[in-house]
Amino acid sequence: MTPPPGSQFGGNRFGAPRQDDPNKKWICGRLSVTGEPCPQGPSKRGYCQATRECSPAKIGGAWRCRRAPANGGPCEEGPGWRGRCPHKKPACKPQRTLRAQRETVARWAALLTVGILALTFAYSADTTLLMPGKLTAAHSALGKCSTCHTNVKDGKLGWLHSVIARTTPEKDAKACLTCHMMGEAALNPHGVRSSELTAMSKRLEGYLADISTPITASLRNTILPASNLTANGVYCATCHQEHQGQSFDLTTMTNDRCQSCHKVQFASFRSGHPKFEKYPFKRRTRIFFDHGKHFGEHFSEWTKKNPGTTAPPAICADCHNLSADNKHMGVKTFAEACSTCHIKQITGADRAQGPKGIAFFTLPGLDLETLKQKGINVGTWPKQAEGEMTPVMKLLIGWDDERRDMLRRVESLDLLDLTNASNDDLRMVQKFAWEVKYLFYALGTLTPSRVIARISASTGTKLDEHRLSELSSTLPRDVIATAQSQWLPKLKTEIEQGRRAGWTAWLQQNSFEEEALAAIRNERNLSPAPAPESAPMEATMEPPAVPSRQSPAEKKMETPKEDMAPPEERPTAPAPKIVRDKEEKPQAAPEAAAQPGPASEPPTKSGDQTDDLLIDEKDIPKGGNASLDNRDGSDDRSAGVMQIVTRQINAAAKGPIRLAQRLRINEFGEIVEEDEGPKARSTAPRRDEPAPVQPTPKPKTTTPQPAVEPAAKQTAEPPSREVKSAPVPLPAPAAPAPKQLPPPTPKAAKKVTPKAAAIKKIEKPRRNAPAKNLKTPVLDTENWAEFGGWYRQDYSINYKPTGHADRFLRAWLDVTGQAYTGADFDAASALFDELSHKDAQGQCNKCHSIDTSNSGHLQVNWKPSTLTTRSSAFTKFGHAPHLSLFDKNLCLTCHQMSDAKGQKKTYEGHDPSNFVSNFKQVDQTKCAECHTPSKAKDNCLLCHKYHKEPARTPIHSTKLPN
Amino acid sequence: MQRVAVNSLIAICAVAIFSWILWAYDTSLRDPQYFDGWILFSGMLLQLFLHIRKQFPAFSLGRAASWLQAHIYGGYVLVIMFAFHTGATLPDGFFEWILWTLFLIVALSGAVGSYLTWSIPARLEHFPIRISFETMPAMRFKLAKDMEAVAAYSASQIGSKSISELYAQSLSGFFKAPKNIFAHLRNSRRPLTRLISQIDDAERYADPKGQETLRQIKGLVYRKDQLDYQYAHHWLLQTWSFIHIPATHCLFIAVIVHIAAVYAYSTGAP
Repeated sequence: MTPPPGSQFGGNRFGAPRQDDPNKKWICGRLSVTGEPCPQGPSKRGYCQATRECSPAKIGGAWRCRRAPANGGPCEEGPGWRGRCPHKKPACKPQRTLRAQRETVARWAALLTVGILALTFAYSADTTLLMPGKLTAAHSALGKCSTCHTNVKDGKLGWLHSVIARTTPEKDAKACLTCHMMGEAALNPHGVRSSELTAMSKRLEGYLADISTPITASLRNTILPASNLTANGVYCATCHQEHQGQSFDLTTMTNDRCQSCHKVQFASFRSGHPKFEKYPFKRRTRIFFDHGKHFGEHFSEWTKKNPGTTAPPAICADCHNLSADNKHMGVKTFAEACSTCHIKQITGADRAQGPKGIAFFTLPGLDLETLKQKGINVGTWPKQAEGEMTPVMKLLIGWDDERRDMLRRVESLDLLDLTNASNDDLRMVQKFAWEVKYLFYALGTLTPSRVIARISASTGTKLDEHRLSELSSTLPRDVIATAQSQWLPKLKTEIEQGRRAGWTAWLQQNSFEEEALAAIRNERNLSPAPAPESAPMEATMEPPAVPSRQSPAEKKMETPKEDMAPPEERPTAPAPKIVRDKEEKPQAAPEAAAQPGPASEPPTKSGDQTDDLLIDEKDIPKGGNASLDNRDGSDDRSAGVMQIVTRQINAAAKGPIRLAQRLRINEFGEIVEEDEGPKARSTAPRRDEPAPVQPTPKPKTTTPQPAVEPAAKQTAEPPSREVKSAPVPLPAPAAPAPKQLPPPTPKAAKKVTPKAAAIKKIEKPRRNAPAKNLKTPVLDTENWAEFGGWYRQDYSINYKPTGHADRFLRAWLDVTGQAYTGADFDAASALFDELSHKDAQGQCNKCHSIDTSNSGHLQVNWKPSTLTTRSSAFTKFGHAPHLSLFDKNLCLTCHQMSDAKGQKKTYEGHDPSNFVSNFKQVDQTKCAECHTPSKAKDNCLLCHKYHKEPARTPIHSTKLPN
Repeated sequence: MQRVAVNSLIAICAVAIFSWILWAYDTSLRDPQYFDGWILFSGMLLQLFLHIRKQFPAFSLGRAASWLQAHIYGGYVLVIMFAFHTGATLPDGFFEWILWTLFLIVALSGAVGSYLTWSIPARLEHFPIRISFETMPAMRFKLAKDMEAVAAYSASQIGSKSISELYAQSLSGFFKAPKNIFAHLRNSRRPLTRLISQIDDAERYADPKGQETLRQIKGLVYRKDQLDYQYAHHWLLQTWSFIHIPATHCLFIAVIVHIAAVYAYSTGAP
């Protein structure tokens, strides 16, 4: 046997042939049987190729035998004509090489793996077997992978879709944000807006010069800058890697990762961390409290002045306590820490002089004499009213530009002396007067919230129901009703007449009046009112000196010869007669329709002027307050009685029977009968007798009496009659404390009527001063409201703080602060300034600081710093773990008192960052003593938060079960 | 020793650099598992070059021994990569367990193989000729045939009954198949010594011709023992690859599924 070519078996001492090709998959079967493999070997597919003794070769066109000499050499027969050896040999059974067997095993193993995986996927309930690890316990309830992996479809092979259609990290991050709401800038670094981030970066750039970046960090920043990644946002999974086990802390973050984006990078807290700057006080405290002053002066003074009473605080814990989460050291409540010394300052009990309440509504004083002379009709207006308009009223009246212009102009005038006022000014005063009246009318007619809602239009701020409730819910209807009935007894009639006649069309621009009417209609379940009565009237009647844009009125104002005369003196056609007298009603209505009054004609007769002074049972409105709006659907019968009486009192002022001499409304809004002695009682009219008519004193004017129709002469009186009539014996408000007025100008002096002069001789009282000439020995209203609340005094309705955290005052400060512009003639700003003045009643802002908000308005800090207010800070600190580590100085270990002065001065401004602290900043080296990697640790997240705003969890909109 | 020190130093430096890169990758808000995962997969692909080299010996792709050396070093590096990639922690998911187990099998079998490829050539180096595993049966058959011829000669020409009995009782079985595999792997010569002692015992009673025949038999026994020694070690070399290579096939399939799943569920940092 010839050894295979290339084999070394010939030299092998074993004498065996060698199979050289290691990749051969088959070996001859004879090798293991005879030790002599055939030279051909098996085919590639493993078939024996040595089934004959030789493989003939074609040489020279003929087949030649090539049998080996060992097998006998070439045979005699030779190959057949097809070149096939005629000597057959039994075929061997080729064997697979070990390598081939190994490959086969490998293939089968691979197939087995595929099969196992396929079966596993097929029989598994879901794709959780692909999860690299369990979800954290908080997320373990998330059933589907597609909840977080937004591009993965449902189903066992749904994940393969995501392999092809890749998603963006942002899309997945937004899936996180559906449960962890982080605001609009959630994916920005730290969840803050870019502008804020830029500002923060700029602020930190100041440290660059002092802090050197570690070499490794510099190299890292050069090779793999993080800024490239964060340019488009930092996605949730960048830091929060899930599938790391149930108890894995998803918020784990290394210091190096924290710093990777920062311009200032340092080695550790102890080495390189920026020094504390104004920490922990980056702004002034929200509640002004001068620790030094209290420790040094106030506490000792209190002890001296009040021996044996409650001792002032002696230790920090007397005023400060640890919050529920043991982190924040807060301030105790006012009642716990401050009330003992400061409550009287709030309620006004300590106020030695000046009013204790705040005037919210007043009836401004007007120079009625001049107005009358100039023919300016303001209707009924008490001559004793001498107050000034309050900022609240300005706010409620000046709800549009036109009215604000009016108020601005009126403010520039001396309303008590209009002798030098121009016609335009007077027209403005008239309009102003009617606006004031309409305000009082609205206050009594509508729900207070609807009136207060005007602030929205005045300030542009939106008021929700809660805020409206705070602003208006305490307004007492009775005080307003009483004030209205005494100050402006014919208010309702005047307004309604004006509205019917159309000359108050400009007042109807007040949307809430329409609302009120609609509300009343709804309340009574009536069909909608017919077209406004004023519409046809307006077409036929010219309003009397209406300060509106209606041209006829303006024209008349420009030609005052006739029209400027008082309405009652003008020889004009009779005004529409609107009476309530049953007998007159049938005639009056058509008359009013048929004979519209002139433009300058005021209503000649009001309903109450025709009423009997004695109360008739049937006159008592069933539906409540007659003086305000007897269409009110309420069932307050007693109020109705009171209003009828009030109306009669007003009628008595001009009628023959002076019921008001017996009946009066006292300071408390109660109807009382004054004891006028037997004589007076004997002259009192009986119920069934007609009331004797008391002639109205004639006014001493040079102007001619207007032609009044006879019926009107007996029953009606022009609205401005009080100027010329005898003083109405109204109760206390009509008797202000005397005050010297400045001498009138010569021109004014000439025109002043004796009555007006007499009035002006009376000393003008302070607006809110208590009346001193009360005859009834009762407590004045201000002192009666010992613990605060509403009360009426003179011609003003006042509010006295009820104590700390007064909801009403607080709401007004909030609303006006929100609308604060600081501009001149800005009613909201004026009101805020008045309420927040250091000497204002309540003295809210003595302690509660005022900040300028982001929108440029003002915001009163009602609460001290809390966890909520500090939640947006990047730094966090827990007091509790540190309390046991103090040295002998206890709290002063960290909070050392500062000698800096001028703290109070900084609170006069509205910039919270401009402040002087009572304490020095905390020393960072003190913290670094413990906060090292080996002791208390110095992880960034130990003291800092990444997300400025904490995540909020949405409440899902679950439909109510049927 | 110096070579080991140099190699160790290089290995330490490589691991240190790789660790720093991973640190930089991680601290620059990237996900290092993508980075070391692809490094790991690339390394696994590189390991396949040994197989390619063996499949295509005709191409001048370098010496197979060098490839094997690179394959072994690469294997150790991949174990370190794997430790980085997995955080050197046990897996937590079903599929992760499959991956981890397969990698462990491949790595362990590879480690065993590297030990064998390091230790067995040293054992076989005193043999002048290396024999391929496939040709050993032919050699074994030839030795058996030679032995049979010697036995037949001694029985017919010498008439030695003891030689015939020796052949019938011990030698025929010895030459028929590979014997004493585990003894050879343990480098134990006890079976050979026992057989040789039997021949020596028979020699004591044989005549000079018989003694000559027994010396020839002894020579054949030694050669058969050497053949068995080589067979045992080659068998071991071949057998461990029956674990390593099929496990590698399985691992690659699992890795491909793993990569697909990773990118299907990927989110966050690149």
